[in-house]
Order: sequence, then C-alpha cells, then structure tokens
Amino acid sequence: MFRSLENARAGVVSPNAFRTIEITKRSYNLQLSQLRDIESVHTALINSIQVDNKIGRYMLSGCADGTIYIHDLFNLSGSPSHTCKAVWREKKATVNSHNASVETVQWYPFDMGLFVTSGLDKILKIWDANTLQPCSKISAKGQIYQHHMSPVPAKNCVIAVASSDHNVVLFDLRIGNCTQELRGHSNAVISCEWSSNDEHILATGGSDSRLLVWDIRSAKHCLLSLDIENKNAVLDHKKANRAHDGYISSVKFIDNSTSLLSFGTDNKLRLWNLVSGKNQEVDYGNIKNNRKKKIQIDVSQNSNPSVVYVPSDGNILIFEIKTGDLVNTLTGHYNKTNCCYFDPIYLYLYSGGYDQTILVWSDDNVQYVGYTDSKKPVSSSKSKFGRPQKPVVDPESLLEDAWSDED
Amino acid sequence: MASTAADPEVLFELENLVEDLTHSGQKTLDASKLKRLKSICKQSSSYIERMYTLVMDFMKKDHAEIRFSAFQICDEFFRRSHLFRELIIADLQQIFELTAEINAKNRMPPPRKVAENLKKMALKTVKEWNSVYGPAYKRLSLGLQYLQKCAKINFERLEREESLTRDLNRQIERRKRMEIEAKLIKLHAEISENETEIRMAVNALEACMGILVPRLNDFSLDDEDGSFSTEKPSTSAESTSSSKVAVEEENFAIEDEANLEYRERGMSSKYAIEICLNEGPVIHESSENKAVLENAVDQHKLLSKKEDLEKVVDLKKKVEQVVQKFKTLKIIKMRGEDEVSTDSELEDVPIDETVVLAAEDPNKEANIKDPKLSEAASTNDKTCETASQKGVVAKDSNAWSILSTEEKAEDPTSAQAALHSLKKTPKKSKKPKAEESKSSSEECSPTKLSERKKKLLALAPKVPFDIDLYHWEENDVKAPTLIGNGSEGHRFWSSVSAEDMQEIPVPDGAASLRTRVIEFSGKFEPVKWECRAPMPNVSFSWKNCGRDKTGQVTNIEEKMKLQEQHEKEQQERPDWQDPVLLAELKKQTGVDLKMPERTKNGRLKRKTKKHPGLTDLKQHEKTSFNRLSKKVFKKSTMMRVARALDRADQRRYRDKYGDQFNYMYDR
Repeated sequence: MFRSLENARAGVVSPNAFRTIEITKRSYNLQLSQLRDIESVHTALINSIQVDNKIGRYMLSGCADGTIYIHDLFNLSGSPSHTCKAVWREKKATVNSHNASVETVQWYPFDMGLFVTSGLDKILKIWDANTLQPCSKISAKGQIYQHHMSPVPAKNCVIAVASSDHNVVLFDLRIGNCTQELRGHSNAVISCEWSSNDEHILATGGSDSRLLVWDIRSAKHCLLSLDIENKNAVLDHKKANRAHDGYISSVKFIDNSTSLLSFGTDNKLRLWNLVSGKNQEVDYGNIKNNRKKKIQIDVSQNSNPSVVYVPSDGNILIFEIKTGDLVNTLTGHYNKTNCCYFDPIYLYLYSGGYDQTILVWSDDNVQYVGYTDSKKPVSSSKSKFGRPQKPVVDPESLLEDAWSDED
Repeated sequence: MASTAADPEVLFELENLVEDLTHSGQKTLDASKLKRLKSICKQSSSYIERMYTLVMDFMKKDHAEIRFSAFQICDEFFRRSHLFRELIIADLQQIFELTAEINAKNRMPPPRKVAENLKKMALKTVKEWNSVYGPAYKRLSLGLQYLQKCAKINFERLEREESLTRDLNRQIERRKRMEIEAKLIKLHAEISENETEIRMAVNALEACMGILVPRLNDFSLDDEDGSFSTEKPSTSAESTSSSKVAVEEENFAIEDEANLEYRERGMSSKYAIEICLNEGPVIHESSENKAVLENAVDQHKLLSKKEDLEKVVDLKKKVEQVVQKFKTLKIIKMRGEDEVSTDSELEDVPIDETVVLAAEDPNKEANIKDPKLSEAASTNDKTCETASQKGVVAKDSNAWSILSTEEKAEDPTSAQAALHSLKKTPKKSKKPKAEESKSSSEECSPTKLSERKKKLLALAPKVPFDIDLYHWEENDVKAPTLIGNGSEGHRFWSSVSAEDMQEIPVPDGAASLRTRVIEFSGKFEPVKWECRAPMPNVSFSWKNCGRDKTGQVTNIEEKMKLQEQHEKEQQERPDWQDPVLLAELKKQTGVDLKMPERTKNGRLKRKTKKHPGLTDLKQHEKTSFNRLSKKVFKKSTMMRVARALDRADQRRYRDKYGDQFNYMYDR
C-alpha cells in the first residue's frame, strides 16, 4: 500500500488508478477482521444487513424474530481494536416492531433520516431515523421477501416489493400507497432490485424460476425475460423462460447496470448481459444454496476486476465476476450464512447468518501486526508506575507448533 | 516440520494406529500407540493432514466410543500442531455437531452413557482450547460464542455441576477416611484386649502341632531308619515329604541337563515344569490323637477369626505361620461309633489338655522306639476290635438300630458301606487309648456263652419286630371290629339304634394279626460296568458300547465305526488344533495358530469380532423378541394369516347370510 501511495504521490500512478488498485487489493484479500468486532446483540438469525452509504457509520440489521438493530461502526475509542456497539434496538413484540421475521432493511439512499424495513408479517414500515419510530406502515398482499428503493435520485421515490403474492408491487413514498402492479410472475416473487443508473429499470426473480427485467413506464409487460439457453429471450414473457431451475434467491445489477447477476436454488450463479438479454455462461461452479427465501449477495464497487460475495452454507465465497474464478472462501460463521454487505466506503464486508453474529471481514492484517507489535511489552518488565505488568501472551507464539521432546 | 513426501509404509502404519486407538473402547488412549502416532505426525505435515481426515472419518462413525477416542486424539494434537489446529477450527461446526450434540436432529449414537461423557468432555475441552488459543484463533472464540448463543450451552452451569460433583466426591472420601480411622481405633482396642488370648491360642495350637507332627529333632536320630517310617503315620508323612524334596532337587538337575540337550537340538528351553513342593504331612484321625486334633481345630477357628493385626506384626506373623502349618495338614476325619463313644470326653476340652497330651507324648515315643512291642499291641488291638464289633452286631439284632442290617455293605449308598470303608482305612493307624482297650478286653474275656448257642444265633434268621411278633405268644387272637355306618351312611344325624351300633368284625381280622407283610423291593445288584472309554480332550460325546479294561472297544463292528468317526473328526479338525494346546502355544509364543473355521459351504467364517474393546451396539437387538418378531411379522406371513382369517370370515358370512340378496355376488 505504501509503495503505491508513494507512486501516487510521485505522479507515477494516477489517483484514480491508485484508488482502484487499493480497493481491488482490499476487496480480494478479505479475512476475519482481527481488530474490529460487532457487538453480538442479535437474538435470532440475521436476514439483512445494510450500512448507510452516505458516511458509512450506521449499520442496520434485521433478525428473524422481528428485531431491528443499529450499530455505530465508527471507532472513536482511540485504539485500533474496537467492538462496534449497538446504539439502538427495536425489541421483539413491541407496538412498533415486526411480528414476524424481518427480511429486508434498507436506509433511504439519499440521507440518513429514514429507513425502511419489511418482513413476513406483510407490512412495510418506514421509520423516522431521528425519532426511531415508524412514521408509516404499508400493508402488502403477501409476505414480503424483499423490497428495494432505487439508489438513483428521481422525482418520486418508489419502493419495489417482492412478496409471496405473484404481482410485484410498487409503493410510492410520497403517496404512501401502491401505485403500480407488475404482472408477469406466476408464483411468489423472491427478489427484486432497481438498476443503479436508471430509475425506471427493475429486475425481479421469482420462485417460478423466472427472472424478469421491467421498465416501469411500460406496465404492459416486462422488458426482458431471461432464459438459460437464450431462447426467446426478448419480450416474450408468455412462454415460460427459465433463468434457473428453482427459486431465484437474489438478483444484482453490476457494471453500471449493463449486466445482471442472479443466484438460484439450483446452486448456480449466473451472469446476464442486459443489452442482449443473454446468458453470459460464466461458470462459477456449484454454490450450495437451499434457502427458499432471499439471499443477500453483494459485489465490490470500483474495483477492477470486480468480485462478488456469495453467502453459501456457512462460508462466503468470493468470485471474480468476469471469469468465474473462486478467489477465496471466507470461513468463519457457524451454521448457514444468508446475507453479506460490502461497505464501499471503508471496504469492510459484513456478513450474518444463523449463528446470530455479524462478522467483519477486512484486509487489516498489516494494521493488526503493527498493533500487536506496539502492544508488546518493552524489554523493561516494569511499567512507568513500577507496577508489574500483566504478562501478555503473544498471540503469535500460540500459532507455533508445540511438539514436546518426548513425543 | 518439513512437508516431505509421505512414505506409503508409514501412512499404512499411521492408519493402523489411528484405527487401533479409536477402536479401543477405553476411556484413555493407549500411551505407547499415541506416542508413536505423535512421532509420525511430527515428521511431516502431510501425515498430519492424513491423520486428520482419518480421525474425522472415525468421528462420523455411529458409535459413541469411537467418537470419544477420536476426539481425544484431536485434543492431543490440537495442543501441539498449528496445522492441526487450523484444520480443526475450519471444521469446528461439524465437530460440535458430532461430539456436543448441538443439532437436535443429529442425536449422538449409543451407548448413551459414553455419549453423555463425550458431550461433557468436548464442551470442557473446547472451553480449554479457547482459553489458551482463543486470542490467536478468532474462529475458535466465535465457536464458543456460538455454543453459548445458538446451542444454548451454559458453560457456567456445567462448571458449577462439575465443581458440585467434585465437592460431593471429596465429602464421600472424607467420610470414608473417617470411617476407616474409627475402625482402626476400634481394632487397636480389640487387639490390646485380645492379645493375651491370641497368644495363648497360638501357643496351644503350636503345642498341638508339635504333638501331631513332631519335628525331626524331637526324635533321637541315632535310631534305625525303618523305625519311624512304617509305624507312625504322621512321622512317615514328614519323612516322605523331605525325601520328596531331595528327589525333586535331583530332578532339577536332570531337567537342566535335559534342557541343555534340547537346546543343543535347537529346541526351545521354555518348558513349564510345575513341581508341587507343598505337600504337607497327612494325618489320619484316630481316637488317640482325636482330642489333640479337636483342640487344634478349635484353636484354628479361634485364630482365623482375628483379622489384620497391624500393630502386632510379629504376633500376626506367628499366627499366620501356625495357621499355615495347620492348613498344610491333611486331616482325614473319622466318623461313626468312635465319635459317639468319645463324645463325652470331648465335651470338656480345656487348653490345659495340651499339657496332658504333652505328658502323654513320651509314652508314644516309647511305643515307637520299640517296634516289635507296638506291633504286638496293634495285633492285639485288632483282635479285640473285631471281637467287640461282633458283640455290637449281636446287640444290634436285639435292639433297634439306625443302621439297618439288611443293607449290604457292598451297596455303596448304604450307611453300612460308609462305615465299612471307614473301618477299613484307619485300622493301621488305630491306637486306641489304654482305657478303651481295657474295656474291650473285658468284654472279650467272659466267654461264658456256650458254643452251641453261638452257632444257633449265627444260624437263626433275624426278623425285625412287628405286629405278628406282638401277638406271638397269644394263642387266640380276637379279631378286631368296626362300628358300621348303618343304612343312612352316617351315625350322627338320626337317632342311634342298637342295630346301628353293632360291631362288625373286620374280614379275616385274626389272620391279619398273624401275618407279616414283607415288601419286595428287589435285590441289590452291584454295578458291573463302568465307563472306561478313554477321555477325549474336547468333547464328552463318546459312544456307549462294551469296552475292555484299557478302554478299547471289544466289539469289532463298533470299533470300525468308531474308527471311521474318529477319522472324520480328524479331517475336520486335526489333533494339533486342540484348543487347550493352542491356548498354551499362544501364551508362550504369542502366535495364534487357530485355523479359521469354515462354514458348511467351505467358505471362511466371518471373524468373530474386529474390535473387541468396543461395546456391541447390536447386542440389544439380539433378543428373542426381535428374532421372533422378524418371523411373525414378516410381510408374507402376515398376508398369509390375513388371507386365512378373511377366508374364514367370508365362509361364516356366506353360511349365515348367503340367502340374502346383497351377499348374492360374494361367492
């Protein structure tokens, strides 16, 4: 890092290139953060994590028992080793809380005064982040598996809702009610996401194995119906095109929304070209997935080449998107994992799952080594105050083999 | 540690070691094998990886004991190798599921008790791991957190339980110790109380022994050799035992030479030669040494009651010595008349009697010293005895006796026979006391009964007393009568008339009082044949046929048959496959030469058990209930039974309602 920083300073490398190199390096070399922990306050499995994308300070997380938590991620303690405390929690079974599993939590993309949660109790709640009270509740017809707000600034902010009802419903925040229904799926819709650069483009994946791309301005039919074998890919939604053999657990726009990633219960991750509407046929291998609900996958932003983080059966797999190579397997969780979120500002990866803990993954090994070096006791065993210091066990010594001589 | 290429031989050994260790079924691992395993794994990381996969495979086995041992191996290596730690930590979730039963769906396999222990041990060990390696391996501490949070395992409670059980154990131990101390104090008191008594008893027993088994130096050694080897049984026993020792020593020498010879011929010198040196002197009980023996037995009883006299070690030693000495004596008990006759004498057996007996001792020695005299005395005794016996028999004919004279002495089941055999054996050693011999001689001397009467008595038939003898001297015996029952069949419900009260004479009543009923029970026939078949080593199944004295079959046909059978047996299992022989060979050489058994088809039988240390999980399935239910509830059987029952039902309906229209089509 320091060399590239020097290079950037000397003008050998452009600042943008330096940024890309550093981001790429960090998003590749993730491992369990040695210095940062998230306070473990969750009481059930974690379904959804999001960090606000304005300043990257507050992390929102929702649990299967209807509880919602906000953690303060800023480290103001002065020591690199830090546990992020929970600053707010919505307890179970209160007036405001969800009665069933919270499936999705999302910050309002443009400021931190608002966040939206939804769950299997069929209610979408819009919370005032200042008072931490829900200011509006909107009922949907079915259990809400996922909702999404477009990150593109537009006149009216529309929330797309994927629920067990087979219509995708669009709620307008200003009106506070349903404005549009998108009919195309024949069964429950599991996942939905707005394009990252066009406020009208929406992708939805259903339990009927169909992956549809909509332009909400033409409500008659969908824009694209994606198919594994690329047949009748365009505009023909009446014939049953199949994007996966099973539920589509996750959809994700990438590369300025020119491509789409989808993850299904057929244990496959697929990359689609949205311009041609074709399957790119990148082989990511078999990624275990038997969850019939939404899985939150994420991609690294501004890195080159970019990678995708896929929670799969207790591990988080990192794939290079373009080539499909498995970069790394992050092993840390116990039991299954079902969500991960890559913080684009501070380049931390947060992941959660059935073990009720959020793990932080980062490339902070250099920092950690420096920190432990600084913590090592100075050769004089007595501190300034003459009090004998507590013997600090050097963690590095624990990593060594300890074969005794008689063995 | 260098990761060199794995040697296949070492890998093979590694596999065997891991399998042996995990399938031992023991609570602790075999130290030497574990050490060997460690030394292998120390060499290369590839061995560790291989070992890890093996251990994990075994941990997935459905047997709690295998899992238990596998986890113990994991623990051993976790504390040593960094690589092993990383491997374990990567698979920690699975290990938790296999050993700590965190998943309710995946229950731990039986035996249940071992599974419980494994669970406790696993949780404790993981906690220990975390306390040591937690700072370096983050996932380990996360694992502990996971156990607490998701698997809801309360480590504090576990610890508390453990400390509680420890406290309980300590308390029990303390109580036990106190009990033992109290016992000790009590024992001390008892010892000090009884010391003198015990000493006296020891002395008495020693004195008795001195009388019964005089030591060599009690005799004057300048006597002739023959003097004490023939006459006195006790001394003879002593001498034989001593001579035996000498002979055996000689044997040793011979054996050594033989060994050398064997060795020269390339044979092993390992021969188990058992020489029983501890054949103590044999004492036959007689009326003479009876009192001494009785006393000795009493003292022995007294002494053997006392236990564990810790403080008075010398006393204890002495007691043990004496008791041991007494035990080596072979006392053949004498039963019968003698016992009855001397009973009154035995009633008062004071300790001082030893003194009396000791006083008698010189007399005996004098007897021994003069063999001719003693011989004469013994012959005299014999005659007296026979005479007295005769007298007894004569008396018996008059008086009732417990011993029926009708029983023959040859019949081994009769008391007579027992008496007879007893009379036979101790005759030689018998030395009745002076007074007794006197009395018997008195009985013998007045031979006033005439010869004729004697002869007649010998000839006269002896008949036991009975009803006919009772009426022997009455000439006219009245016939016994009965009171009849009358016409109604009873005597009490209606008024009694004179007719009814008439006595009816018993039919042939008078004759019945004159006759004697002798029940014929057959004549005793002694067993002529005995089984003389040479005993086979293995089974007790020999043929029932006539044999001569050496056990050879007399009948030729049968002989041929037996021969054939024997050959067949030989083919099936040769002589050298004798299990006793094989067991001995195995004991000495450590090689099991047993040939694998074959089934009827000639295939090898399955090995009995691969891992004998493990608890057999299928044992509980081998119940008669299961065996029978397999037959009874077999699908085909059930169907057959159901069909039969259906048919019976149908027939009944047809018979009953066959004429009704809705059963019309049923036929």
